[in-house]
Amino acid sequence: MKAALAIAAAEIRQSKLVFWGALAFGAFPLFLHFVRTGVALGPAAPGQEMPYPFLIAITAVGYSLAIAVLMGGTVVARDIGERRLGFWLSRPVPLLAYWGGKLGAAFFLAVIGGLLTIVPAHLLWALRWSDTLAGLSRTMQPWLVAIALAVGGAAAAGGAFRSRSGVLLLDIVLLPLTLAATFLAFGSSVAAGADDIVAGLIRPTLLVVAALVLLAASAAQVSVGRFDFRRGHLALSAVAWGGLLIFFAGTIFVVSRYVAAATVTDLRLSSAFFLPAPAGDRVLVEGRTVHRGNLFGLDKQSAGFLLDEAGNASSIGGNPLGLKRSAWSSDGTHVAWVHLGMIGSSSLPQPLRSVPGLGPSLHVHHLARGARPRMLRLSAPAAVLAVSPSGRRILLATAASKRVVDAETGEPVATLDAPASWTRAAFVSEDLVRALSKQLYEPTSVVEWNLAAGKLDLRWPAASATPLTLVPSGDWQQVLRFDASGLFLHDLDGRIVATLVDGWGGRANRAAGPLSGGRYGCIEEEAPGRLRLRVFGSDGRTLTEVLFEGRFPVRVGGEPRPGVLALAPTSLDERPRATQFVDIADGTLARPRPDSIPALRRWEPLRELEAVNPEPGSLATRLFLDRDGRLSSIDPAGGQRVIVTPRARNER
Amino acid sequence: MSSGFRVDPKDAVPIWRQIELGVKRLVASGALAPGVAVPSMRDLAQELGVNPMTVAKAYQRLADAGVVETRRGEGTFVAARSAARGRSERNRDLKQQADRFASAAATLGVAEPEAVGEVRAAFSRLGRGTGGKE
Amino acid sequence: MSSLAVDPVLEVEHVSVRYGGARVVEDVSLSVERGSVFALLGRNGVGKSSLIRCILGQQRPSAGDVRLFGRSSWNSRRAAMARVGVVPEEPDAPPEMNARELVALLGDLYARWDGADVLARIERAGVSARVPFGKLSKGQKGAVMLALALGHRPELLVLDDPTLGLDAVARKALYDEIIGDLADRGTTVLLCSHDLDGIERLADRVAIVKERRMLLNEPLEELKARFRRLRVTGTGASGVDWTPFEISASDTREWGVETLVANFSDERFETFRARAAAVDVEVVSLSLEEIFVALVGRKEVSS
Repeated sequence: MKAALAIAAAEIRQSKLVFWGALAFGAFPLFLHFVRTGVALGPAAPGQEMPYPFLIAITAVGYSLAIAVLMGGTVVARDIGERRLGFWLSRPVPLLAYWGGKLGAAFFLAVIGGLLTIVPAHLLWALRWSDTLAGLSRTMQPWLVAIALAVGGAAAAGGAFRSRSGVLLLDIVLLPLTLAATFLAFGSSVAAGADDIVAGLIRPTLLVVAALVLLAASAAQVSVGRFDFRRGHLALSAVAWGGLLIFFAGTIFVVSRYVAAATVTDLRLSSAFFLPAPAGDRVLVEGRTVHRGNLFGLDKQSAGFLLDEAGNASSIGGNPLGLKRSAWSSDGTHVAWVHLGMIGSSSLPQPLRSVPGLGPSLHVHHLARGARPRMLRLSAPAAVLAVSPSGRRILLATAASKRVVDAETGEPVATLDAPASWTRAAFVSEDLVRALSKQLYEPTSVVEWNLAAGKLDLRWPAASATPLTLVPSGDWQQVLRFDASGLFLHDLDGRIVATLVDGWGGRANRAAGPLSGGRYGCIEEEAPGRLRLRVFGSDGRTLTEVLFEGRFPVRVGGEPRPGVLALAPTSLDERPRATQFVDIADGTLARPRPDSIPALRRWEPLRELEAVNPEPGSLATRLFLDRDGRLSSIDPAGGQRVIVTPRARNER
Repeated sequence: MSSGFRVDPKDAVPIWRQIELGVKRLVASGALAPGVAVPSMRDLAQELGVNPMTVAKAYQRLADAGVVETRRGEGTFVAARSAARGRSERNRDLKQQADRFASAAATLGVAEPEAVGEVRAAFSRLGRGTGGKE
Repeated sequence: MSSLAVDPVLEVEHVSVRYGGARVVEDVSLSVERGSVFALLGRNGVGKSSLIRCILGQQRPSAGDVRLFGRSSWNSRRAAMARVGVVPEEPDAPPEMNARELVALLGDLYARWDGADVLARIERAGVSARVPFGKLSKGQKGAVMLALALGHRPELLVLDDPTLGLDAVARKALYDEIIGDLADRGTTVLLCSHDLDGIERLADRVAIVKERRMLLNEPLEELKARFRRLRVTGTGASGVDWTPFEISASDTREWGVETLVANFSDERFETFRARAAAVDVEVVSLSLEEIFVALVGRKEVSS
């Protein structure tokens, strides 16, 4: 220890230039700022914009890292390169003491040098030490880790080059391999939904580990190799690459595998996102998991599954936000979902973007038995608006464009000249030939598109008010329009065919949408706690009117049986906590199902409906979550079948 | 103090022997008088540029032969004549040297008068006449 | 030497050193007794520096053992280096530090250290203690390295070609210091050098390495005693019976035959003389340099 300190002290004494350089470096940018802006030296006037904290921080960090690399890369490596190690080897000094003293000096010089660059600012601008100390204590830990990483990396690299042995060729091969392994591991962590863990929690630890690995590699070179430089370099490379592969890439990979091993019972179903098929018995679900007791202290991992009514689940990876940009075909046989990849992946260079999981990708799945989802790489994050029943055409919207793509190849078939606001308000015919959307910019209107040609087909005559909802009927013969002035039926040329509700009479809370059998429905809040349901035929005649107890907003869960509408509160904390089943034909109410609500996040109150209504009787209409977080399918006649029982009681 | 003689490391004769003979010669010629201090082992070794142990060996042999004596704490000095070994030993050594010289002369094919003349010349080079005690 | 060696300071047993595929040192053994001066000779590139590094625990031999003070030099390097002073072939002190700073630094690395003595030595060599090491001349650097190597009063001094590139004055100054230390402390010395004159003056024992192997290892006195050059002239010179001599080299000239005898003694000479009475024989002794060149230089085999 005494030897290490003596060696460190000698090295520091020889490097006094670092301290003078720090003062000069710290003064220089401030001097430049003064020259450019003429801002006087001295304390800032109240309200005066102070760029200094950022400037000072950049200067301190930059200088300390530069010194770390410069000194870390030379204090030991130069002795190796100039074959001066014998001087230390022929003294009764442990090699680790020599190594520790030298690199300790480099670390010390980097830290003190960085801190010294702050001094000129304090003297010239009379800054408050309390502010600076507060700022320093916040950033000290990552800053020290960065310096340690810089010193370790420079020492390892310097030692590798200066040993002048052929082992450098091994390093040249292993460096890209290790980088590739790291990126692949990170890609698999993104695909598994574990990238938040990796980035937010493990990354600081992994960086510390990387710094320790590189420092250990440099120490190994000196103490194992002694004067045999080839042997020393071998030790360096073995520790460095082995350590980085195992502890860096390997840790990321293991965490991904661990997270990806979550099952559907690990999901926090009460806060999960559901995308049921509009027909059939499948549902895509994605959410945070309580996987293995949340090893990392935060429920940062997410997982996605394809589920059927029997409870069979297959994993679709971790897919945060991705399901919200996904869609089923109207017959429930095909589904396309988007995996967004790593945030900011579009700024990565091409070879990295194609690492599986890192960049955005499109997955197309045909539910035939045994078929695996097909993956297509995307150049930018996209949303799937519609999938054709054949599964061959997909309507994709990115920030830049909307296009119909071929699901086999991903090649665009037609590109639409459509506005950015279109994505939330588009309705697409199931053969992907026509589309209907609201145009929200001046002039506001409704437009129809010919998707095959990619062109605007028709613009409706200007509406009296901005339409709140537009829903084409299932056969695309009529369009239901719902806005502040009432509820109307249009034909595809934009002309009003029937007026279902002429004015709302001051009732503010209302919702409307299509029902089975060509019927239309609308719900209004008559009075607090009382709701009125009205059912209309396609010719506009009122068929049914029924009043019942309930609060707005109410969730409409589709028709679990043709002709029976499910109405539910939006949360189990509201009263009455019951889902009611209304016979559309005569308005009779079936026995309510207490303490369960439809597990259908997308089915908002009847103000906004998406394009594809679920087929009556499909799982989409019968999926419910109860207070214990159990997912079950119900039969309005009374049967209930639990699909998924969560492992731990899910809390919101 | 300068030693007054040289050694030739390249010579076949070992250095310690050359030192021993050199000191003996100096003592015999009177350049080193009895009671005079000889250079310390350290100084002589440095002056001649040789291993001190070599000097030590030579001095040891000289002390055994009675040519020098070491007084603790003071140094090494030329021994007084009277403390030298007995006359009979001296005569025996002398006889040995004479035999060697005579046989060398015979080998070279030199006659006795010429050989004796060489002996006289050697003595004169030493700076002393024949005979005479201290 | 009258003392009996109780424990050898250095033992090298069947050491081989390999670099990649090439063998640099092959099966070398030697033993250095306390208080002796051991000289290691060999032509350039014969692996002497590698051997010295193995001796000092700086490198692992590919075969064999090295023991310093009875313990493995690789495993007990640190303990050994407290008792060993090393002057390497290339001066390797940090070039930006001056002698004063070096003395202060090394003082913190050794348990016992006489910094004043080291500085006195450096001053005696005429070197300024304030000039950075890198700016000194070769001779000055060597003087500083020797002074630093002696500061902890080592029991063994290892010198690898200390006089390489030095002029006569610097060489003499260096040897003066070494001799002084030998006289004061009876230091054991392992000297690896090309300065055969210096070795002839200082060494007790000499080992010659030829083509990676140890050719001989014996006291210098014996070596010089047993090698003679014999020049035989006159008729019948070429037909002379050389027994009982062991002839290392033989050369026929117009005036006769010249041979290098490796096992000369007075008795053997008498025997030879008796047999070869008809010819004239001249016996010439050889300096260490002549012996070395004859043994290790290119051998000329005469017809």
